[in-house]
Amino acid sequence: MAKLQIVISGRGDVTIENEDTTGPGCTGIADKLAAALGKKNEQELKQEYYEIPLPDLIEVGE
Amino acid sequence: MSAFTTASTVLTDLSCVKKALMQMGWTESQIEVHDKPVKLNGYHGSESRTAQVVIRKQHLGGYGAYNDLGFLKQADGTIQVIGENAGKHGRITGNKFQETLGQEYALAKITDEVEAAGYFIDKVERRDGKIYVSADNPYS
Repeated sequence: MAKLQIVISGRGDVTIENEDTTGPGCTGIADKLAAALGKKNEQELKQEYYEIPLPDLIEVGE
Repeated sequence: MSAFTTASTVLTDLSCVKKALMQMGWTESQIEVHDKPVKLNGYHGSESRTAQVVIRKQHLGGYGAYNDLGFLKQADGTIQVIGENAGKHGRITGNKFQETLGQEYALAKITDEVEAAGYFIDKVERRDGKIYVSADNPYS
């Protein structure tokens, strides 16, 4: 399920976090919102999270 | 994957200005919306300034205003706020008023846009001078 977390500051500046940018209907929603609000900031902050596979458990014998 | 986008709010949508003003405490009947700009009233009566969205000065009592408050859509699409910065305390067009207006306008615009895109507003929380909005799209 696509999810947006939006914070509107006291000055009306907006930060949009799109928690899923891959699903259908998700692509471009943040850009569309920013454009609708008026002015997308030039400096776009992006943060990506990657899943790092954990190594297999290793049984340690005595 | 999660992505962050930031934007600064610019007033361009008169219907969202009206929603913001209602959120700020004015009633629907106190906010005039006109297709074409109408004259604003000042201290001495009718002024040459015009606006499409108007709150008459009698509804601005809490602000001690001598003039109507107006919102005029300009040729470049942005909305000009026309009010007095004299008043009793200059509160109509002061920073606090404009900041609250910008914040409530952003919430109204966001609500319109995300709902049009198929999202549902899950939660709106006002905390620490900020507004936090959660929206879900169960179909994507």
